[in-house]
Amino acid sequence: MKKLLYSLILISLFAFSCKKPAEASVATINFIEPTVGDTIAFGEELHCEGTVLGNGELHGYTLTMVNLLINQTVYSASSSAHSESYVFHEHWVNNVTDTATIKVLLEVELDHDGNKSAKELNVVCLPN
Amino acid sequence: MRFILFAWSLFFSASIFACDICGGVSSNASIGLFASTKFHTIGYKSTMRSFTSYLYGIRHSQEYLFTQELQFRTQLHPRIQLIGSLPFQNAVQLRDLGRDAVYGIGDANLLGNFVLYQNRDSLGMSKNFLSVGLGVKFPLGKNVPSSNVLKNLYPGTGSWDYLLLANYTKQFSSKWGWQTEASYSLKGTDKYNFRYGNTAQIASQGFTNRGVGSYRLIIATGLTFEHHQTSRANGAIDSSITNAGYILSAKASVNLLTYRWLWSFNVQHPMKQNVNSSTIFQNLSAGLSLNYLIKKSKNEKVTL
Repeated sequence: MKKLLYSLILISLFAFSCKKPAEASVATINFIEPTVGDTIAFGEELHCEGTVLGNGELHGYTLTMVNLLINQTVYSASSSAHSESYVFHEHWVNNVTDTATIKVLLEVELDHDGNKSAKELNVVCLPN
Repeated sequence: MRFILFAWSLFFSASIFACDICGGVSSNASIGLFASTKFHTIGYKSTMRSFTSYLYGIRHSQEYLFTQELQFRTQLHPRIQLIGSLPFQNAVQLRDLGRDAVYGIGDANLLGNFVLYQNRDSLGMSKNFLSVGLGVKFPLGKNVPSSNVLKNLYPGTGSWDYLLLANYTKQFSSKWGWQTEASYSLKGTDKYNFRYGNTAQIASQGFTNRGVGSYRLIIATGLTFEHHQTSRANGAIDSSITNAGYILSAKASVNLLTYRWLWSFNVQHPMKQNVNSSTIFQNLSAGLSLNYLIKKSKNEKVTL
């Protein structure tokens, strides 16, 4: 009887500890900075800060900044951390040589099947 | 059984020395368990502290601060000790999307400790020891304006800071004693008109002193409470950079005293804390130090 009881306790512990959180079907991305149309002077930092909240487990995210004038990625970083929420807080120093629109894009992996949520905004970077 | 109890106490209590909340935001001083001895010492101390930071209630980053310190103590007069140290700090912030590292020489400090009262028994063992210390911390370490988001990782406060310290050590018997230490750090203003908040600390610990062959093993455990006032930029409270709040920690140390060397290992672990509205949490800290004892005379005894 004791053996049965211990076995049940062990099985229950195993079952509960292995319970995976549900995958998210949607993520809410909130940019706190920058705001649309911000103008960044040469040598100053383009400050990207915000939050990502999922309605379940998220599978990572990527922050990208693209110079649309020359179609070149000036910053890109990814995280593969699994979590229901993220906070990002990164910087890129404006070094453009011509006035350029920079697209700031945040993409969140909802699962490992390629489903994503994304949000983007554009700012203006000035040359020296 | 005693070993198990001791190991348990180390694992579950843990604690440090005079603690800073972040990089250069030092420092309440501590002259530690060996305050009542009269050795000249030179030594090296290595410490590791870590913090977890939150933004909008979500974990944002993990900070690790590694400090290497050269330190000395000299007995200028039977009632006057001079204690100093020069730190070098490596700080790393790890975020989901990147990492930043800041390193450099920190703020050197010098403290004069004045023995107000000390009585010894017939064997020369200190029974009661009371001292007060006055110190200064020189702005040698790298420092940046408060607009820099990594300011708290820099090794200097950028200001002249002043330290006040009081230490009372009571030895109940040859094997047991108690020490209480209080300190206050008065922060100055840096060239960017930024001023870290003043900090206060009180620590109390019991210790036991045991013979291990020809060596002495001193084990201590206790509590530390530290309070950080609000930081200010241009006279106004800077909520983005302040470390205002308190930390109550348990601490423990193991010290091995040989004929010429003092080995020390200490750990500190916060039990209750609220720093910057609970956006910064201090984690387990640990330190290891090795000091060479320069005895004043060959007949001097190793007593606390």
